[in-house]
Amino acid sequence: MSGGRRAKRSSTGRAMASRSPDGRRGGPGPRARILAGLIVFFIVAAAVFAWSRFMDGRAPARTSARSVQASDAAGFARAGRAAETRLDYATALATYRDGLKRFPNDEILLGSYATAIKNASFAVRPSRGRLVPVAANSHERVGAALEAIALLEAAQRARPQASQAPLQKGLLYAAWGLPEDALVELYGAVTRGDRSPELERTATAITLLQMGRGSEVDQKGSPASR
Amino acid sequence: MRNAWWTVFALAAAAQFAGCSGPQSKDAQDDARLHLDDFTTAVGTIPVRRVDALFAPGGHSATAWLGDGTLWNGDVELALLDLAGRPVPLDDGLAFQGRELGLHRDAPAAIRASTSGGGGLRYTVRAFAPWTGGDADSASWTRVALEVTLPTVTSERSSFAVARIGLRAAGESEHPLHPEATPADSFRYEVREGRLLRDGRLVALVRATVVASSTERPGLKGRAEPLERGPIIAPALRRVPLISLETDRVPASTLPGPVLTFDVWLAPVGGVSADLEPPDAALSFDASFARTVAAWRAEMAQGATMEHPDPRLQAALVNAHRLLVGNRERRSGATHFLGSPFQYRDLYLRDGARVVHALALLGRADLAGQALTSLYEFQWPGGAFLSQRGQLDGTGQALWALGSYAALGGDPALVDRLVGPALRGARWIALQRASATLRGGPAAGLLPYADPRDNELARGHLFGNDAWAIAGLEALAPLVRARGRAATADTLAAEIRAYRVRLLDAWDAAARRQGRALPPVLEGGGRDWGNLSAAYPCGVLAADDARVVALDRFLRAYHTRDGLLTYGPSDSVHHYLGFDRTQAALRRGDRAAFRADLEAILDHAQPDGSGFEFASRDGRYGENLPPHGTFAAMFVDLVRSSIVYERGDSLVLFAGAPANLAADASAGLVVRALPTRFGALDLAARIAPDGVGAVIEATLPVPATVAWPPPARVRAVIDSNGTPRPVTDGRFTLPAGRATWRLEFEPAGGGEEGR
Repeated sequence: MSGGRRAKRSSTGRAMASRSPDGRRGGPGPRARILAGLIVFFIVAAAVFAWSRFMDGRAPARTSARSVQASDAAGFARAGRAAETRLDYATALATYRDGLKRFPNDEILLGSYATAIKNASFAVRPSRGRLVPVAANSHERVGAALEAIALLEAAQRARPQASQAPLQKGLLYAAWGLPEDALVELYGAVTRGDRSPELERTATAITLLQMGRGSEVDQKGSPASR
Repeated sequence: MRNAWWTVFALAAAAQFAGCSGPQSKDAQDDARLHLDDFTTAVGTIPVRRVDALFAPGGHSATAWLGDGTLWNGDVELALLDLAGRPVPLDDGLAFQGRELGLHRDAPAAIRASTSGGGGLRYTVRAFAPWTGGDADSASWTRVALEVTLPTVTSERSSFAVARIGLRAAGESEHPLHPEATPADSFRYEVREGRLLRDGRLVALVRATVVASSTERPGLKGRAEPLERGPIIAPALRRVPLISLETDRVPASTLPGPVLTFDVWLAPVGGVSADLEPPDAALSFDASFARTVAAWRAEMAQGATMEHPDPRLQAALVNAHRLLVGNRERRSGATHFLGSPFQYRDLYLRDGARVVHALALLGRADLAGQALTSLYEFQWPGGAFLSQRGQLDGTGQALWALGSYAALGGDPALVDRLVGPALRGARWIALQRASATLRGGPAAGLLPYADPRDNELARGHLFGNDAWAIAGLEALAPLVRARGRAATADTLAAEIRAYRVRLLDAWDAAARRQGRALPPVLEGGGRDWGNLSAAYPCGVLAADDARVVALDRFLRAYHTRDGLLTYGPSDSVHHYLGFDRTQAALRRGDRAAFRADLEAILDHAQPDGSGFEFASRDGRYGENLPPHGTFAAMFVDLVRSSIVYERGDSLVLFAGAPANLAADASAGLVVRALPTRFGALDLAARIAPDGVGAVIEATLPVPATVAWPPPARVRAVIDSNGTPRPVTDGRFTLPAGRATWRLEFEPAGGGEEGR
C-alpha cells in the first residue's frame, strides 16, 4: 500500500514539472491554490494549537486526580508510599493507579495498589475533628475496587503464570466480603506457585467460616476483611 | 425582522431577570405562602429533637434546621445569635398559639419563632430551599426571612442591635459532614457588605429589607454591620459571630411591635464565588417561595394519587412522597437518589431496592427507572451486586427491585436491558450455593457467610441474605419466561424450590439450637433484621406461618419500647425496622396489631411526619438525622398495603383502613392511577351521609376481596343496577371493571376495635 502511494506522488510531481508555461501563467493554477490553502490552514492550525497550549497553562493542571507522576514504576511506588506516609490516601491511590496503567506488570505497584484498595484505613481521612470517607459515595468506592480488579486482570493477561495478580484479586474479594469469589482467585494463585502466609491464612479463615466454624477463625487468624 | 427578534429576546431576558421563568402559574402566585395557616398540626406526639429538612430535587446539598435553631448544610452552620452570642432557641412551639406546626402543604419549608431573645424581642424565622423545577445544582441554596418584632417603644431610642449572625464549620453532634465539604480544621472568615466569606468564598448573605409601615406593625429600617473589620481565623468547631443586625433610630410610639426584617441566604456546600448572587436574589421572599411551590406542585402532581382520610397519616404520606421524589441529585451526568438529604447522600442496595419499589408504587416509573439503573452499577465481575463490604443481600435485592419495577409499570426496554445482568446475578447465587453444597456443614446450600458491619452486626450466615436471594430469583423468573426463555425460567423455578427447602431446613435446625424462632444468624447472635423480611417482602414463609408469628411475639415481648422495635440497646428505638413484620400482620388479618404499629410509627414521627432511623430514649439522633429515605419508602409501601395489596390473582382492599375509614365521616379515601401488579387502580370510598352505609367507586384491574374496616359490619353490597353481591361474615368480593357499589351496614352495636 505505501509503495503505491509513493508511486502516485512521484507521477504527480513529474506531471507538474513537465507543465508548459502557457496562458495559465497569469494566475496560480488549481494545485497552487490548494497548496496556498494548505499553508494558510497550517498557519491557522499552528496558531490555534499555540493558543490552546497557552490557555492550558492558565487552567488547572489536567492530570488525573491528584496523582504524582513518575518516569518509572519505582518512582510511582515511592511517590505512592510518600503520600501514604503523609496520610494523603487519595493521592496514594491515584498514584498507584496511574503507575499501574503505565507499568501493568510491576509487582510492587500491583501489591501496593491492591493493598491500598482493600485497606479500610484508606476509606477515611480526618477533617473538622472527625473521620470522613475519602470516597464521596459507594459508587466511587465500588468503582475503585472494580477498576483495581480490571487492572489486576490486565496484569494477569500480561503475565499469565505470575501469582501476584490472582493473589491480590483474591485478597480484594475477601476484603469486600465475597468469599467464594476470593477462593477461586486464591486457588489460581496457589496453582501458580504462591505459598504466602497471607494466602493460607485467608483461605483457611474463609473455609472455616463457610463451614459454620467461625469460632475457630479467631484462634487461627482472621481473614483479610477483619 | 431583526429588530423584532431582538425585542423578543429582550423581553425574554427581562422576564428571566424579573423571575418570571419557571413553572409559576397564577394560582400558585395567588395562594402559595409560607404562613402559619399552611401547616398541618404536628404529626408526632412523642417529644423529639426537631429537624426540619429544607431540600429541593437536584441539589447537591440540603439544610437541616436543627433543634437548637441553627441551620446546617453539611459544611456551614448559620446561627441567629442573641447579644451574648448564644443561639436563639428557635424551637418555641408555643409561640404559635400553643400549636406545634407540622407539614407545609406545598413544599419543604418551616417557620420557627422565639420569644426568649431578651429585651422583649420576638423573632420569627421562615425558611425554604428555592427551586424552579428540574434538577439544577442551584437548588442547594437555602433562603431565610428573619422578622424581629420590637417591644412597644414609649420613648425615642437611638440605634441598637437586635441580634447577630454567626457561622461555624462543625458541631459536636447532629452535624454530619457533607461528602464534598472541604477537609480542613480551621477557616478564615470575613464580611464584605453583608457577604459572609469563608476562605474567600461566599457562604451566606445577609440583607436588610424595608417593610412598609402600617398602623398595626410599623416598619423600621435595618442594617447588617460587620462585627470585625479584618478577617478571623477560627477552628471548625468555634462559632464566630460575624454580623450585627441593627436598627436605626426608633421613634416613640404607642403602637405595638415595630418590625425589622432581613433576607438571609445560605449558599450550597463549599460556598460560591465571592461576588455571586443567589439565583432568586431579584425576587422577594414571598415571590421566590411562590415559584418554589409551583415547581413542587408540578412535581407532586405526577404519578399516582393517594388521599387518606386520616389527616395525620396523610401528612406523613405526603412528606414521604415528597422525600422520595425530591431526595435526588445530579452527579456525573446521571440522577442519583439518596438515602437521606444529610448524612446519607448515597444509596446502598438494601435501601435502594425499597426506594425503587416505593417510587414504582407512587406511579413514578420514570424516577424508579433512574434509581434502578444506578443500583445495577454495583454489579461485580462474578455477577454479585454489592454496594458495601460484606452486604450479600444486595444481589437478591437488585433482582427483586427489577421485578417490582417491571410489575408496576416500568419501562419494558429498561427491563430488557437489565434482565441480562440480573441473570448473571442469579448464576452467581447458584454458584455460591453449589460451592457451599460441596463443602457441606450446617450452611450447605446457602449463600456464603457475611460480615455486613450494619443491620445484624454479626459475622456469619444471615437468614436475610438467603431470603432476599430467593425473593430476587422469584421476581426474575417471570421476567425471563415472558422474554421467551422458558428453559431458563424452569431452571430458576427448580432452583427456587430446592433453595427454599434448604433454607428452611437449615434455619429450623438453627432455631432448635438457639431456642428461638427464625434467628437472624445461623451461628447465633446478631440483631434481628433480615429475618424480619421472611414473610414480607421476601415471601419465603407465609405471613401466618407459625415461625413468623412466633418471631413477631418474641420481638413484641422482648425487643419493643413505646410500640417500636428496639435496635441494640433497649433504650434505642428503630423507626422502620418493624415495617416488614407489620406488613406480615396485615396479611394474616391481624388488623389490631397493624393499627397499633401504625399509631406508634406516627407517634414517633417528626412534627412534619418524617421518620428517622434510630433514636435514643431522649429523642436524640446523633449524626443520623431524619428524614430517612428508607423510612419514607417503607411507609409508602405500608400505607399502600393498608388500602390495597396483591394476593394471588386478585387484590385485597381496605385491610388496614382505619375504623369506618375515618373519624370524620365526610372524609373519604381516594386513590387514582395507583399501580398494581395487574394494572392501575382507581378507588374512592366514603361513608354515606347517614352513617349507616358507604359508597365505593372503583375501577378494578382484577377482582378484589374487601375487608371493610370495623366496627361497621357490612350486611349488603348493591351495585348501581340494584343487584346485590354475596356477603359472607362481612366480607365480599368485587368484580374487575368500573362500577359503583352501595354498602349497607348492620345496625350499630359492634365495636370490635377502637380504630
